[in-house]
Order: sequence, then structure tokens, then C-alpha cells
Amino acid sequence: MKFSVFTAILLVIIGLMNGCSTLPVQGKKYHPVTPDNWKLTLEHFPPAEGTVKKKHPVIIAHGLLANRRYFKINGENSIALMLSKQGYDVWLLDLRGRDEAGSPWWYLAEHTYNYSVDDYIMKDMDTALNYVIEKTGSKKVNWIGHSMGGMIAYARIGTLGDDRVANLVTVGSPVILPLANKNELMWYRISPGMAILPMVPTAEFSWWAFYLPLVSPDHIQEMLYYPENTDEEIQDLLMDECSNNISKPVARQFLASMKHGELVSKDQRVSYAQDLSKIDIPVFVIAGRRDHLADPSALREVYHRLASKDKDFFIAGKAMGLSDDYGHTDMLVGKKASEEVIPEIINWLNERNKTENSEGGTD
Amino acid sequence: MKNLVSFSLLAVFIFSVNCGAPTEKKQIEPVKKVVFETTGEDIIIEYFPRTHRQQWDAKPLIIIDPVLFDSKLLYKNKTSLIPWLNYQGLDIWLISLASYERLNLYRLGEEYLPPVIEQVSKISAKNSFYLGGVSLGGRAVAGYMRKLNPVTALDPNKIEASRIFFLGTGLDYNYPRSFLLEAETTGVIRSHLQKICPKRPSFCDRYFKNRQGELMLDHLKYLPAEPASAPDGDDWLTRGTVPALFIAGKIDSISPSETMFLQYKKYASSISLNYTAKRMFIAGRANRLSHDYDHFDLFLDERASKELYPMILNWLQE
Repeated sequence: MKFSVFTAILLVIIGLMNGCSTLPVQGKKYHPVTPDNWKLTLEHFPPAEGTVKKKHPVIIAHGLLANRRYFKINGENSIALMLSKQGYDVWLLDLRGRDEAGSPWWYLAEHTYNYSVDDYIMKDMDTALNYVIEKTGSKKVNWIGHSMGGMIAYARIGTLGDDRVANLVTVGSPVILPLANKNELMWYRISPGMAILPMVPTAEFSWWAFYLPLVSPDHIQEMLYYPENTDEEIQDLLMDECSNNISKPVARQFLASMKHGELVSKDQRVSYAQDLSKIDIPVFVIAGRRDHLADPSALREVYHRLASKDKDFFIAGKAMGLSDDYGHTDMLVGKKASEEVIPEIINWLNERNKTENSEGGTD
Repeated sequence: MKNLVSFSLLAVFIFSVNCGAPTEKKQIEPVKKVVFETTGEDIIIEYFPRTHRQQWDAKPLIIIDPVLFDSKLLYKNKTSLIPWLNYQGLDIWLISLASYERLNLYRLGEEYLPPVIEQVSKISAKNSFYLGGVSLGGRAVAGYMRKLNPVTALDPNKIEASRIFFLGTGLDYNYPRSFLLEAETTGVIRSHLQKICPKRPSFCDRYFKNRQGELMLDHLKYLPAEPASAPDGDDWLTRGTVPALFIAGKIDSISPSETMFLQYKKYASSISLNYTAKRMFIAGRANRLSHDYDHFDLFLDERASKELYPMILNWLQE
């Protein structure tokens, strides 16, 4: 009896704690619908008052395990608001399967975990581009993709020939996959579990890791971000607010891609990395020296294969004079990301988004 | 004549060491050092005999001077790379140039290494050896391998490398802001680092501090004029016939993984070797090691003797 009361109190406290953690800024949310009826979310941060609007809007797309919220996790120092303060029309994208983008359930629901990376590439990215272009009146957009958010852009621009992206920035996006390390081989070990579950319950795992840190081994945490370079409060928010489950087809597509050494289509007939050589728009490839998911070696090969004449490669680390060697997510949310990494992105975009009214240049 | 005398003395020394080859662990033998003159350059050959006989057919291991830092770091103490491998039963020859001001490491490998290796082969009476590249010195190994003729490499009487490894060797720096390109821009290349670092503190602070943030100035030596990419392409990789292991430190910014990954993949595409004969490993936490290794950790951190050197030994023994 005592145990039951204690458990109930504990659950209430945990529930309250969960409800209490909120992110500091909110934009207006829009919900474009994909051809197969998934309601995505685009959270909008218009150019800050008093700024000169930049040439193209920016869409920012998240990674495999995440939703859009970490792009605003640092409040005024987050990439969303920093871009807005530079005059960019910023749209944070939630791909399908997030709690505000279809909110799938395990079985017998309107949406289940039945989607693949190809769906992100073929349908979600297309829907987001259409929506932002229609809303803003711009013919093209700047695309910033973190991790998988950049991989789908490489695939859509290279393989599908989409010409609506004017400039591409990818942060830790290994469309050519790095050498398998022991962390990644762990996915093979847990893959038999997918025979039973419709998805990899990474959100649930993160939730437990947040409240019971013992369930999260250090090496899993380090795979996502470098703890010493990320404030504890941000770490908590990442685990509690920003994580997401991985659908079975997405997980299987990544496992197949690991075997091939590069991102392949669901049926494994198309290698999206093969078409990097068709990409000729300006691209800025950013890697984290300590990134355990997207080693700079693989990103250097991505950079090498791009046909773009205007391309750059930057490795966020001490050798570039930065305060630390950056991990996978701390490139955008780390202790000094707003001083060391995000300004690199902004400067690069500014050079390519000059308007007639902006200082120092024209279209 | 000078060479003949030098090598005769060295041969007598080796004979005396090997007659009393230790079967128990004992103190590391002092180094024997000779100077071998070839085509106008003084090549220094240092011999480190094995300190423990092991039950395996170990071939001599030839290691090329790291150049960037003092090669003494390779035999600083018992857990350093050379003494550690000596204790595993390997005879080791450390090859270095008296001066690196007149040529780069690729040329050392292409032009100067073959006659030196021939001499080592004669003295050790073995025509098969292991070849190890540490730090930038590995570029000389690449230069040597590049000149190997795949047809003559199959000749059973030819002196040949049976296995090679690269430990913290950058092979291709042809990308923005790479170490060699930054060194060129900053005017650090072709410099004695201990002299130039006080004049270029920004560059040296960025690249030559260890994980603890200490500048490794006392150990730094020379940064030769190295081409960012391999001269005349790197076809030798795709026709590789010798099993090769590539090890990079996860947070090494001098010879980072991206300076060897493309080369490794080309090597991996060689049809002359099965997939187990070409490997790359990134030393860091993602591979469950104690920490992410930087450049100096590969040679100075005691944990390398538990985590990395056994991997090299296993590789040579396979």
C-alpha cells in the first residue's frame, strides 16, 4: 500500500515536472498537409522588427532523433532567433512522426509508424518548400539541415533535381556514412527488437534518461552531444522536449544505408550519395570535430563530391580557434554555439542573401 | 666505405644482442645509431632490439621518424610505442633524415627509403618487413608504397613490406582550412617549430596544444614543406597489394580522420586484398575507448599502450 502511494506521488511529481519544462520562445505554427495527409508543423519567426528583410526565407530541418524545438532552445541565442534578428524569415520544420506532426501511435490509429526517410524526401520536404514559397512569395529558400535534415536536402536537390533551394547549409549531415563505430553497431544489435515494436522508442528512452540518468550510458549521451560543451539545463531540455521516436522503416533504411556506406532509398536501389555530384548550388558543409555520429571524414567526402563551385567546409573545433571540439548537437546548442558556430552560418548566408536595401550589395 | 664500416659495426651489435635475446622481461636496451649516407642526404638509422622473445614469426618493423615532433617520444618510457612493441618481440628500426629542409616526406619515401630498407634487410637477413608510419612520417611510407611496382612486388626474392600501418598520419590535406593549408597561409610550414611558434602563437596554440591545453613546444621539431595532396595522384592506393591499417585520433586536428578517410576508401577498393586486409579505426569514445584521442595522445598517453598499440600488434600478427 505504502509503495502504491509513493509511486502515485512520484508519478504526479514527474508529471508536474514534465509539464513545467517549457521552451523560452514560441513562433506562430502552421500545419501544411502532405499528399498522404500528414499534418506537418512549420513554426514561423519573421524578420525581427527594424531589420532589412533578407532575400530568401530559411527553412531549418531537424535530425533523426529529434523535433524542431532545439532550434529555439537557447532563446535569444538560438539559431532561429539569431537568424530572425538578421532579417531572415525563419521557418522551423517538424517532419512527419513528431508529436506536432501527425503524432503517430503504435497501432490502429490515423497515423502509425509506417513512414520512411523517402517519405521525408519525397513528400515532407516538397510540402514544406511549397508552403514557405507560397507564404513568402520568394521563389527559392535557404535550407539549413542538421543531421538528417541536411541529408534529405542532399537527396532532394541531387537525386530529384529540386531547384527551389538557393543555398544549402548542412550541419553534421553524413549522407556518406562514416566508418561504423561501436555506437553505430549497437543499432544492429537492437534491430531484432524491431520485429516486435513498430518503432525504436528513443523518445521514451530519453524521457527515462532525463528522470533516471542511470539508464543512459555516457557513450549514448556523447553520441548526441558533447556533455562538457552543453549546459546542463539545455541537456535536460534536449532529452525532455526535443527527442522523438524512430519509425521502423526509417530505422531499417538507416541500417541498410550503414551496410552500403551511404544513404540509400528504402528499396536500396538508389544511392542518394551518388547524386551529390549533381548539386551545383552554394553549399556550406559544417562538421563537429568530436561528432560521434557524423565524423568529419565522411563530411569531407560529401564536400569533395559536390559539384558546386561555391562550397565551403568548416570543422567546429579547437583548431579553428573555437573554445572546444564540438559534438553532434552542440554545434547548434552548445555553450558557445551562438558565438562560434551560428555566426559562421549567418555570415555565409548573408554573403548569399544580399538585397538591394541591405548594406554593401545587391542581388 | 663509410657505409660499410657503419653497417659492419651495426651488424656486430645486432648479432651480440640477438645471441643473448632475453626470454624474460628486462630493461630496454640502449639504442644503436648509425648514419647512412645516400645520394647526398644523411639518413639516421636507429636500432631497437626486441626485449622479449615471443612465439610468433615477427618480421623487423621499420618506423619512419614522425618529423613534426622529437622521435624520442616514441621510446620515452616502457609504455611508449617502440619499447612496448620491443617487448612483444619486435626488432625495430627507426629511420630519420638528418635534416628535412631540402626535401619532403613523400620524396624521402620514394627516393631514399628503398636503399635504406635494402641495407636493413641485409643486416637483419630478412627480406620481408613491416612498415610503420607515425604522425607525418607516415607520408614517407605512402611515398615508398607509391613507388612499389605491383608486378615486382610479387617476386618472391624481392624485399617487401608484408604489412603497413599509419598511426596519426595525414595523407591528403586538400580541403579548406586543413592543417597544412593553414600552416602554409600562416607561414609556419618549412619551419623549426620551436623557433617559429613564439612568432605565430595563434597557429601553434590552435594545433599544438594537448587535450589539457598545454603547448607541446618542448617536443616539437620541424614542419617540412609537404604538398597538400599526394603528388601525381594516389593510384598506388587502388592497386594496393599490402595489408594496411589506418588509425586516426578522434580529436586530432593535425592528422585528422578526414586526411586519411578518402585514401583508406581507395585502398579498400583494391581488389588485390580481401576486406580484412584494409582497416581504419578512429580512436575515441564512440569506439568505447577511454577518451577521444588527440594527436599527441596517440604517442604520449599511457592509455595508448592498452588501447591502441595492442591493436597494431594484433594487426601485425594476423
